[in-house]
Parts: sequence; structure tokens; C-alpha cells
Amino acid sequence: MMRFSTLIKHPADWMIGADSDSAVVLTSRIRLARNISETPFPGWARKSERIDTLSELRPAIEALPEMKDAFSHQLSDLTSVQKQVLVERHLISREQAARSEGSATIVNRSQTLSVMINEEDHLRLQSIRSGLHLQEAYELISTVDKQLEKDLPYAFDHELGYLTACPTNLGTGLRASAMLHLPGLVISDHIGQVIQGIGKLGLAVRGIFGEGTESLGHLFQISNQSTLGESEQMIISRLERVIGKVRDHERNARLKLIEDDPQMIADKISRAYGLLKYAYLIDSKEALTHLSLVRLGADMDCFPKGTLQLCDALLMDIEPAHLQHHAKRNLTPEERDTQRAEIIRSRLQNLSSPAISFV
Amino acid sequence: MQCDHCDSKATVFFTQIIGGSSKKSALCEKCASENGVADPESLVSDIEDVSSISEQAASGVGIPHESSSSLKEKPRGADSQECAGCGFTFDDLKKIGRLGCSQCYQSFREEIKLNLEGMHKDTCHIGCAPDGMIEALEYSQQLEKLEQEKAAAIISEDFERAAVLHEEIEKFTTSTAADNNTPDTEI
Repeated sequence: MMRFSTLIKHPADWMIGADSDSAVVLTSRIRLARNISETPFPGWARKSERIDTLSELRPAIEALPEMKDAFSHQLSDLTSVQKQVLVERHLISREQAARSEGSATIVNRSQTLSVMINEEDHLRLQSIRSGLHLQEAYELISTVDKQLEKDLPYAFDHELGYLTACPTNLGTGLRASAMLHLPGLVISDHIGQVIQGIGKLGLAVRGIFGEGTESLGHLFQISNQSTLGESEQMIISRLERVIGKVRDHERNARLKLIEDDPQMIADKISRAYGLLKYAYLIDSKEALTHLSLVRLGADMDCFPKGTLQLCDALLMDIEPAHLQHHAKRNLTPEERDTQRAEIIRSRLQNLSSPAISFV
Repeated sequence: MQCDHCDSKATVFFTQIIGGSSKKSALCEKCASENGVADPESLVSDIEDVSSISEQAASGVGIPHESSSSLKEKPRGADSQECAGCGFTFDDLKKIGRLGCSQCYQSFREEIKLNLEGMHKDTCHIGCAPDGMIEALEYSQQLEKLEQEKAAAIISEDFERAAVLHEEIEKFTTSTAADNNTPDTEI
């Protein structure tokens, strides 16, 4: 079985921008909510019932070929910092991190597939890919789902589809989402329009850090809201089409910024680089804002190849639980700011100053 | 259930707790509104005003009335039903936004469906189903249809038709059973 330290030491491809086209769409994620019949949903079940359900489900998940030598732990076996690290890596949800006995998480070795047992639903299957690849992520998860349905008595209703603890997930139980980096649209002030347009299509947009347009690091998540009355393929292809369009808008916004106001963009990228490289104290908000601009610079060829991946790894490593896991102790917010600045300085040490070709 | 007050169908239910004893009432929409208990929301929001409602209700419908007693009224019906599977009530859903078990969807189907429209594209599932579920549904629907036709034929004393349907049902059930067996014998 994979240990926590091994899992953390080897971040998944999708966490560090492996896809050649992850400059705008960082990751694609599919999750399915499934429940078994004849036993209460985790939130309503007694502890003993949850433990029974866990002991029924866990062997079935561990037996999946995809889960060979997987990371498989009960939440009660993990420290709160370890749980938080898994949340920051998007491998488990906040809701599951709050749970302990009777809840478990199983992650395959390449971390493309994770299964939460007894979160809001009995099973939450999740697959993540680098770049815009919702279809691929769905194929993996669908294979796993079809294998599991042979052994597990899924709760299913002919009218309402897969039955879930919350009626918002009924039907397909499918939530598809993508994480996007949209500095071009934010700087050119077009993000409001785009968010509004997406909202009209019945899709949800939220900031990854912070709320709405105030999103830190210019990172946004787009996902479907409706899960009932549309097939899996309809949901996925609609979302993929919309996300593709948003990506094109972002690309155009970046080109237009270079054309209309190259000095301003050059100034932003270069200042962000300087600030990150020489800071000794930096809070999360400041770090995210400037890393976002260096990331934008990487896409505009101001930095050598691989800088995008460097930024993505940093975005993850400077989060609070990651810092504390790295320091092997709890840190006060001030100590975190010091630690965060130190990690950023050391990673950017060998990154030469931006080469601005468009001014 | 019939309205306590007239011959119409009762659609509004409420329970009064007066002192230690409770009194359950069932009213039709019309009698309820005449007695000021039609809208459960207004009942809740006007909770301070509850004694005047109870006075109206008491005088109009003949419910035992003690003007100074502590009084809790709660619209009944769907709200106080319990799920047979897990003991969850529809009130619990309003409180916590999640259901107790998969059987709750049977217990509160109509109430839940009312809330799905604004939430989802549609209220009927399209898409994947566990293997065999769709076939099982079609089978049971077909069987049910034949059984209903047979019952109707018997009621209308069309015994010839009933006999034909009876044979059809037998054929249908045995042939499907045979279908299910064929994969084993196929080479």
C-alpha cells in the first residue's frame, strides 16, 4: 500500500501542468456520486452503520485493477495537516477532511483516480486530467463505475436516476469541472461579461481562491449545475464546448493586451517576478497574485520552457497545510509568510529575468 | 380523507397541542381558508398571532379551545411522514438539505419532485443506468400492462379476452425466462 509520504513526494502529472496545452485550462475533473441501497446515507447513518458500509465498499474499491498498490487510508488514520494537504491537492473534499472514523479515501498511484467512501454520498469517484480532457477523465471513471456496479447494489431509480444524499446531484450524479487561468480576461476587464454569459448557460463559475471576480490568482472553476434530465455525454460535451470558447476568449485577450498595451503587461510581469524573487515575507494573497502574472509571462515566452510547471508546483506548495507539512510542525500565519517567501525565492533562484520581446 | 367540516376531500391537516393532549384536524382547502389555516407559511410567520387563528379555528370548526393555553400548530400531511427505511422526515430535509437514505425518494417522491424543476434541466433521468436495470423495468412494465388488461377484462366479464391475456402473460414470463437462459447454451 502506498504511504502518505510517497503520495506527497510524487505529485500527479496534472498537478504540475503536464499537458502541452495547460496554459489556460489547467485541469479537467469528473466526479460521480453513487450510493448503495438498503443503508442510510453517510450523513444520516449511525457510526456503526457507516463502519459497516465502509467495510463493504473498501474491499470492492481496492480490488479494482486501477487501484493496484493504491493509497488507501481511513480518515481517522490521518493527522489534520495530512488531511488538509490532501484537500489542497484536490484529492479529497473539505467535507471529507472533516470526517474521521468510518470514512476512507483511496487514490491510485498516478493520482488520476480517487475514491472517497462515506463523504456526502457512500461513494464519490473522481478523475482528474491535465488540460482540457473531460472526455478522457470520464472514460476512466465510467470504466470503474461499470466494474463496481457488478458487485455493489447501487441505489437507482428509473425516473430519478442514481439516488444521492442531496437532490442537487440526482440523475447522472455527474459533476464535470475545469480549472482555468484567466489573467487576460481579468486584466482587460472582460471577465464579468464572460462569467455572466456562462451563468446564462446554466453553468457555474467560481474562483478557486476567494469569491467571484475577486478570485485570487486569476483562477476560476467552471462546472455543470444540473445533473438530471441530461445524459453524461450531453453534460460533458456542452461543458467542453463552453470551456473551449472561454479558452479562446482568454487567448484573444492575451494577444490584444500585448498589442494594445505592451508596456503595461511587461511592467506587470517583470514587477511580479522581482517581487517574488526578493520577498522575505509574503502572504498567500500576494503570492498568488504575482505567481499568476509570472505564469502569464511563461505563456508569453518571457521565461524559459518549464516555468509554467514551476508556477503550478509552487501554487500548490505555498498553501498553508503544504507549508506546515514541509516544516513538520504547526506554523503561525507570520511564520508561514516567512516560509512561503523562502520557498518561492529558492525555486526562482535560477530563473533569469523576463525576456520581453513584445515591447 | 374527508374534511371535518364538509364533504370535500381534506388537504390541510394540523395538530394542536393544548396542555398535554393533542387534537388532530383535517380540513378541505375551502374550510381551512375560511378558518384562517390555509397557508402553512402564514401560520408559521404569524406565530405570535396564533391565538387569534386558533380562536377562529375553534369557533368555526369546533375544536376544543382554551384561550390561554400554549399552542403549537404545525401543518401536517407530508411533513410528519416518516421514511419507512430510515425514519427520516420531510422536515429533516428542509432543515439539513439532504436525505436520509435512498428509500426516502420513494417516501417523499412528490414533494421532492416539486423542488427539482428549478434545480435541474428536467425531472426525468436520461443517461447511464446500471446494467440490466432498463431491461428489468421494461419487463415489469410490460407484465404490469398485461395484468391490468386482464383484470379489466375480468371486471367487464369478458372472460374470453381474459383467457387470451392469461395465456399471453404465461408465454411472456416463460419466454423471458428462456431468453435469460440462452447465453449459457449459446456457443
